[in-house]
Amino acid sequence: MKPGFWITLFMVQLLCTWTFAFDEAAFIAGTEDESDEDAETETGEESSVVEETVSAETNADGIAISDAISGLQFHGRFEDQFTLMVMKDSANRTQKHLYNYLQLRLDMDADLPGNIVLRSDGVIRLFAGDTSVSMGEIIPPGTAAQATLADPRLAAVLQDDYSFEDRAYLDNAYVKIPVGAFGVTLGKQPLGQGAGYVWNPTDLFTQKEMLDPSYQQEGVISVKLTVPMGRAFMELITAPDNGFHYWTSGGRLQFPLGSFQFSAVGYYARAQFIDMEQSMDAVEAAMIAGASLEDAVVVENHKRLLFGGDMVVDIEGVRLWTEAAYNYLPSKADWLEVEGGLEYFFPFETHFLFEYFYYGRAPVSHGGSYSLNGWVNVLDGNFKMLGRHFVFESIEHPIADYWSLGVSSFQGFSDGSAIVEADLKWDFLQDAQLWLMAATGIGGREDFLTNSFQSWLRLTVFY
Amino acid sequence: MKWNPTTMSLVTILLLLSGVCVTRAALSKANLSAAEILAKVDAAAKADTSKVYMTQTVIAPSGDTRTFKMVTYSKGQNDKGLTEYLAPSQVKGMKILSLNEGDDIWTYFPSTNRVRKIASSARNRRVQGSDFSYEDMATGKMATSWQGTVFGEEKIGSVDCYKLALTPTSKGPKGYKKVTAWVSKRDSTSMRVLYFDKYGEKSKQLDIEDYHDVSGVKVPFKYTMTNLLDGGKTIMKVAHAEVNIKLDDSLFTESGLKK
Repeated sequence: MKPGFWITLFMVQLLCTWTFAFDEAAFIAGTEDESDEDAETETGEESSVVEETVSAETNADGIAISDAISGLQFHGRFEDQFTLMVMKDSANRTQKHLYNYLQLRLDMDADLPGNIVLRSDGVIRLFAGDTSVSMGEIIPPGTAAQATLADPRLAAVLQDDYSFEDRAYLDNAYVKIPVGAFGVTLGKQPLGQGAGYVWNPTDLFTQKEMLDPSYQQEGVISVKLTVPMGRAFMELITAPDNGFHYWTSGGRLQFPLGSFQFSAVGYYARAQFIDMEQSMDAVEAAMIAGASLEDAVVVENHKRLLFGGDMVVDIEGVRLWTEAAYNYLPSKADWLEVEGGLEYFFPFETHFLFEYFYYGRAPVSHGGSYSLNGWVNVLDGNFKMLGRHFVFESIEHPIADYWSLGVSSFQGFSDGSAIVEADLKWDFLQDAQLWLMAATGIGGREDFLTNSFQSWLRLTVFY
Repeated sequence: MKWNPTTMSLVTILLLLSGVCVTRAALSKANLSAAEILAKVDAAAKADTSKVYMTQTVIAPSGDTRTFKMVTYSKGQNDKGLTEYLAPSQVKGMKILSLNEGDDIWTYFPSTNRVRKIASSARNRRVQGSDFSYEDMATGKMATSWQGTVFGEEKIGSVDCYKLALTPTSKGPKGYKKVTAWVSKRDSTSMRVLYFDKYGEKSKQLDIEDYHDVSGVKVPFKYTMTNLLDGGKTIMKVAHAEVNIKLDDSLFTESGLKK
C-alpha cells in the first residue's frame, strides 16, 4: 500500500471521530427573533441583579458549553462578476471585451484537540464570454515596433492571445501546531506581510490586485515558525518554488517601541527575469512545434538578499507608515523599494488614504516607450510596475445605511499616466453585497497605466 | 453651675453645633464622591478574566436589522480585550484586539490574514455598522477613565441611582466631551450612560440591564445603545458568560490574532 493510502485513511478516521454539532455552533445557529422581544423590553426594572449563579458549564438557555473539539465548520462565498473591458489594439482600434466569471469558494475549518488548527479552502472559477485579449492590446504599438525591429520573429509572438482560463485550485490548506511556546504552520498558507496598503516592498510571497488590494490572495506552500516574545514576535519562513529547485527563506521580527511599531525583515530568495532576446530561439522552436510558448521562455533566476522593514505610528489620529526593502543581487543590479502612506478617519465617517511608492527595479521609458522585456515581466509577475514613482489616493464615505461610495486614483509620475476609479458598494442583505466599479486610464498610448477602461458589477454572497 | 441666659445660649449653641457636626459626618459618610462610586462600580464588576458570548442586533434608522454573534475575552479588568466575530459569514473570523485600556486597537481580517492597527481617528467609527464604536467596545476601568461629580439622584425604573456628571480623564475615551451616568445605589451597577459628543450634543444613550451574578461577579446580560442623532439602535445580549477563567496572555497579542 502506498503511503498516500495510509495518510488518507488516517484523515478519514480523524474526520469520523469529530462530532458536528457543538455548543458554540448551537449558539451561532441560535434564535433569530431576539430583536422583536428587545424592542418591547422596559429598562430600569427592580434591581436587576439575578442572585442565582450562572454555571460556567451551561448558558442561560441551558445549553452546555464545553471546551472540547469545536468541530468541522464549512463556510465560504459565491461570486458572480460581469466585466466590461475596453482597450485599443496595435492598430488603435477599440476592442470591447464583455465577460463573466462565476467563483465558488468553500472553506473548511477545524479546531482539533491540543490546540491544533486546520484551515483550508478551495476555489473554482469559471469564465464565460469574450475572455481572450490579444497581445497587441496589452503591448503598446511603439514597444512592439521597437521589439520587432530588433528581432522580426517577435512579430509572431505579439500576435498571440492572453486568455482568462477556468481554474479549480486549493487556495489554502494548512495546519497549525503548537510546539511548546512556538507555533508551526505547515502547508499552503496566507503569507501577506508589510504595513503598506497597496504596495509591500518587504512581501516576497504575495502580490495584491492593484484595483482591489484587500481582495483574497492565494496561499503559499511553506513552513512557518512563529516565536512569540511578549508583545513582539518573530516569524521564520521557508517556501519552495514550484519545482522545489529554489527556496525562499528568512524571517521577520515585529516589535513595539513606545508608540511606534517596527518590523525588521531579512530573506534569501530569487529574483526572476525574462529576457525575450535570449528566449527567441526556444520560442521560435516551440511555435514551429506547436508547443507552449510560456514553457519555452527563458527565465533567469538570480540570487537575491532582501533586507528591510516597516514602521507604523499614530500621530494626532493620523496613522502613518513606511516600508522599505533593499534587494542585493550578486549577479545583477540591486534595487531599492520604498513606500510610505497615511490614513485618517474624519468625524463624519469619511476615510482618506494616501500612499507613495518608489520602485527601483522598474525600467524607465526610453523615447516614450517601455521595453518589451518590461511589459513581459510585468505580465509574468516579476516586475510590480513600469516606471519608478507612483502615488495612490482613496476617499471612501458611507452615503446611507449599508451603502458606501469611493473614489481612488493611481498616478505614475515617471510617464504621467493615471487611473481613476469610482465604486459603489451596497450590503443589501446581511451576507450579500453588490459592488459596481468603473476605472479609466489616462495618458499616452505607450504609458503604463493607460489603455483601458474597466467596469464591473460583482455580486458576492457569503454562506 | 448657675444657669443664666448666656450659659443657656452657649450650651444651646454648642449642642446645635455638635448636632450639625454629627449630621454632617453622617451625611458625608452617606454621600459618596464620584471617584468612590466609580471605584465601587469597578469593584462590583471585578473579574480578572472573562469570556462572553453575545448576540448583537443592529437596527438601522431605516428599520433594516442585522444580527452578529461574537465572543469577547478580557483580562486585567478590561486592560486587554479581544472580540471575535462568529457570525454572519461575511465577518466570521474578524477580530478586534484592544490593549492598554483601549489606547491601542488592532483589527484582523481573515480574508487577507492581515493585522492592521487602526488609526486613533477611527476609534469613534461604528463597528460593523453598529452604534458601538471601537472605543466603546474597548473601554477600561471606570475609575481611571472618568472623573467628575455626583449632582443628584434619580430613579431608573424602580432603581434608585446616583447621577454622575463625568468627563474623560487622559486615559479615558477621546470621542466624548462628557457623559451622564446613573449608578445603582444599592449594588453599584451601572444602569444608564448618556453620551455627549465633542460638540456637547446628546449623541447616544446606553441602557444596561438584566444583571446576573456569575461566580460572584455582577455581569449585565443586556446592553442597548440608542443613537439619539439618527434614531438607530444596537442591542447586545449575552448568551453565556464565564469569569475568572484561565486565559493565556498570548491570546491578547498581535501574533495571537492570526491563530
